[in-house]
Amino acid sequence: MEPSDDELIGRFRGGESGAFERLIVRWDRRVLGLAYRLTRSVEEARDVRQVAFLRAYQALATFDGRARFSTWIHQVVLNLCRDRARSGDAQDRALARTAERPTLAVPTPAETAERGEVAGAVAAAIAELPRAEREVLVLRHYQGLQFPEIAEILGAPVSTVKSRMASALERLRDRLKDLES
Amino acid sequence: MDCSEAKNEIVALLYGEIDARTRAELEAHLETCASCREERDANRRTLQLLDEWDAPPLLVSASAARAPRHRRWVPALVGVAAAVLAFATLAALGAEARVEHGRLIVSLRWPGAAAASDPVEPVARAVVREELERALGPIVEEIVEVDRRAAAGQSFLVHAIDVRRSEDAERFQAALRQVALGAAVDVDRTRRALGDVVMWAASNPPQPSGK
Repeated sequence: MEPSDDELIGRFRGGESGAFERLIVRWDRRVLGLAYRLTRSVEEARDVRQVAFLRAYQALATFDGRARFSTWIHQVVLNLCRDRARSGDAQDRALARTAERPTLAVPTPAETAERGEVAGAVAAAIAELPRAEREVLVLRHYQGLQFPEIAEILGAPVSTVKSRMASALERLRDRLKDLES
Repeated sequence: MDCSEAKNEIVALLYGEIDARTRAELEAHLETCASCREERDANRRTLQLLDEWDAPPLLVSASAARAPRHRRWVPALVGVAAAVLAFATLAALGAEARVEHGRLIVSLRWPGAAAASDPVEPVARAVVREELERALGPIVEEIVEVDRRAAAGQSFLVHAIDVRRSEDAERFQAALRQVALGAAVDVDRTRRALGDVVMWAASNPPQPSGK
């Protein structure tokens, strides 16, 4: 039987370095997937993964087990993606101020849909959601987490999480209506 | 249950995260509310659209490269187990089989003295050897192939790591160039400012103090 995350953390703290590698292998895909859905960039997602696992490595030695590792690692990835989005926004603003380079033209869902790229249109529509709604949607739909666990990760009531999900779907419905046929 | 509450519970319903009591209440509401029924159906269609957005293959292969490692060895283990069994059977029969450079070599130790005078013996020996090689050949080939694939997988990973390292190195170099460029601009600016000061000092020699 596969050892639980807690068991692996215990073994790692007991000096078994291979236990950390197993933890990474177990979480690699989910961490990358979450980071990719939130940043829409493979490169950014890999950077986020690298930092997230580095933080895990540093934190596990003193991990007190009050929070589950699953909750903790999701929170780390979300925070890293939020930081990147903020610094990305700051860079965009700085670029716009200097006006030395043209602003990157990101296609809207409708433009992408016109080119027949359903996946691209869906990704673009999700990227346009307010951050709080986008996070809930990605955690529920693509990461397959249940609403109570998402609530724990975000530190919000379950009813708020469901309400964000409902709003997200309403916005997406509006933006993707041309694709529904 | 009112429409606002129903809206949230419809989401829970579509993901199968609803308890029996809330489900009954929601279904009772949906019976009487066309707008909420439409909301449920529309959400269902939107969720189907969301499935169109797959993770890029690069992302999948990066993690999958590690994940199937155990699976990759399963055919090898099955092959090895079959081979061990076959080799053990051969040993019990007084024959011997070994693999050299990816090829199967079978040698037979036929029951000696009586066989020597038997004219059928060389033919029987050849037939048995051929049969054995035919039976064991695919297993050996599979082991060799799996081995080759494992080696290819390893070199792919090494290559991927190298690519990643060189990308990081390039980014680092680019950042360094930016810093160096900034520093050069600063030096130039400082030099010009100092030049201005020197020029000003030359054209404004100090006046003797006092009277």
